[in-house]
Parts: sequence; structure tokens; C-alpha cells
Amino acid sequence: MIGNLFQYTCQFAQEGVFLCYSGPTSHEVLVSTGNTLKQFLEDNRVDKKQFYCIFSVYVEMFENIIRYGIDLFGDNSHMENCRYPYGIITVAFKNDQFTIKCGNIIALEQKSKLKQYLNTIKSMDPQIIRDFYREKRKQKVESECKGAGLGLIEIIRKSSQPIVFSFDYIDDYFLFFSMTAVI
Amino acid sequence: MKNLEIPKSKTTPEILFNLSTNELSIKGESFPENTSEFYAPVFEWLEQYLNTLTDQVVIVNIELVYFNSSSSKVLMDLFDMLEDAVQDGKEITVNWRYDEDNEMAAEYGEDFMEDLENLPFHLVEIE
Repeated sequence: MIGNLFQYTCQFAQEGVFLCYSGPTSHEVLVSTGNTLKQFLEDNRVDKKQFYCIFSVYVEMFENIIRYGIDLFGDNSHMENCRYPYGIITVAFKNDQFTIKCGNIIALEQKSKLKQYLNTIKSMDPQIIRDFYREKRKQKVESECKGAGLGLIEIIRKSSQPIVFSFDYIDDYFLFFSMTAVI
Repeated sequence: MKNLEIPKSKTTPEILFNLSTNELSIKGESFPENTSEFYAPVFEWLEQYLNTLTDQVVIVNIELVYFNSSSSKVLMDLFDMLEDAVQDGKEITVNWRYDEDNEMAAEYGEDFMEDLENLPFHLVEIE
């Protein structure tokens, strides 16, 4: 069975995690947890600019999970029609910095393209990534893209430090993709 | 043609397009579950409206405190559509309205402004 929840809670507390969601993701969950996040930031009088950077990264990360995640806990043969992809997202405050982490399951073949793309946009300086964002916004949406394809760029632009990402092995078909942004 | 009125929801802005005053307004937050589906009727309405325009002066007020990246794409498409209309001789002005303490909304406005050539686009700070 599951480990000791008290231990998890203590670990989260040590890392300053004040919000954590793990489970099936949907727009409804995004809206309700997002509102809770906003309330928390408002109650703690977080500066407006930082407030919108945090909320923006939270929304883009959550939407990425909803759009591209896979429900590994469901029946994998119905992957294409998966309604609620599994995802985990945490928001922490420690040493005057907000850290947002997200994780979800992807198919093995998604890795190379995603990794290459993230490395490319990660290495861009602020002016270049701003131009790239605007250029991409002017283009027609790629058919395989479920969104505008701007989410990852937005996350990088809102982060005050380079994002960190990793791919952990699950089995021969699936990987756990995770990403950390600091604001 | 009728006025377009879409009330605001938790994740979508209030949209009011008034035929008699020629004022179009989008106000609130925008991160719909399905962005293209939500904005489809807006584009449909706008296309019809722009075709009926002659010499009226149209004011578009946009006041979005937050919008996600897919809404940003939709806004660009909307401004492109208005820009084409201006090139066709229509008189349209966009007011990008933002709160004085919302630095991000101001930056987004500047980003849009730089991408538009013919559409008059004003950054308006609300005190």
C-alpha cells in the first residue's frame, strides 16, 4: 500500500510545498486548484507581476498535462481516447522563490522531439525567445498540436532561472516526464 | 445581425459587441477549456460585421488581466483580421487596457503592437 502520508507531508513542508495535486487531470481540476493558488498568493500579498508569472506557469504546465499526458493507470489499449491523463503538480515557496514542478507520463517515442525542442528554446536569450514566440504566434497551428504550441515558450519566458527537465524510465513504452520552473 | 453578448465565466472573458455604438469589448480572464471552440462564434460574428461596415468608426476595447498562450494566439488572429479590414479602408482602433500595476499585461500589449502595421493600437493604462 501507499507509504506513510505523514512522511510525505513532512517532506513537502520541508521543501515549502503549499499546493500539491496528483491524480487524473482535467480543466475542472485546473480551475479549482488554480483558484486556490490565486487565493493563497493574494492572501500572502505576492507582488502582481510575480503573481501572474506563477499563475501563468501553473496554467500552462497543467494544460500540457491535460493535452499530452497519458493515463498509465487506466487501460493502455484505450490510450488514444484517454479522458483524464495522470499528472502531478506542486507549488513551493522557499528562500523567497516560488518553485513549480510538474510531472506526467509520456510515450517513449515522444521523448526525442520534446527533449530537442526544450533544449533549443532553453538556450535562447530573452530577446530571441520573445521574437520566436511572436513568430510562432503568427504561424498557423501545426495539426498534431492540440494547443497553440506556445505553452513551453511561455513557461520559459516566465521563469527567472533556466528550467530543469528530466525523463525517467517506466518501462519499454512509457516515460515519466518532469519539469521544474523557478519564479 | 444581432449584438454579440457572451457573459463571463471562471475561465472566459465577457464579450460584448454592440452594433449601434460600434464598440467591441473583451474583458476579464481567458483560459478556456477549448480555446478555438470558445472563440469560434466571435470570429463568425466579426467576419459578418466587418463585411457590413461602411464608414463607421469602430472601437475595440480589450481588458484582459490574464490570458493563456492559446488565447494569445487567438488574439493575434483577431488583430490580423482587424488589420486586414483596416487595409480595406475600415476605421478601427484597438485600445489595449491594463491596470497600472499589471506590468505583464502592459508587456503583452507592447508585443502585439509591434506585430501590427496598420491597425491603430493604443496602450491605455487604467488608474
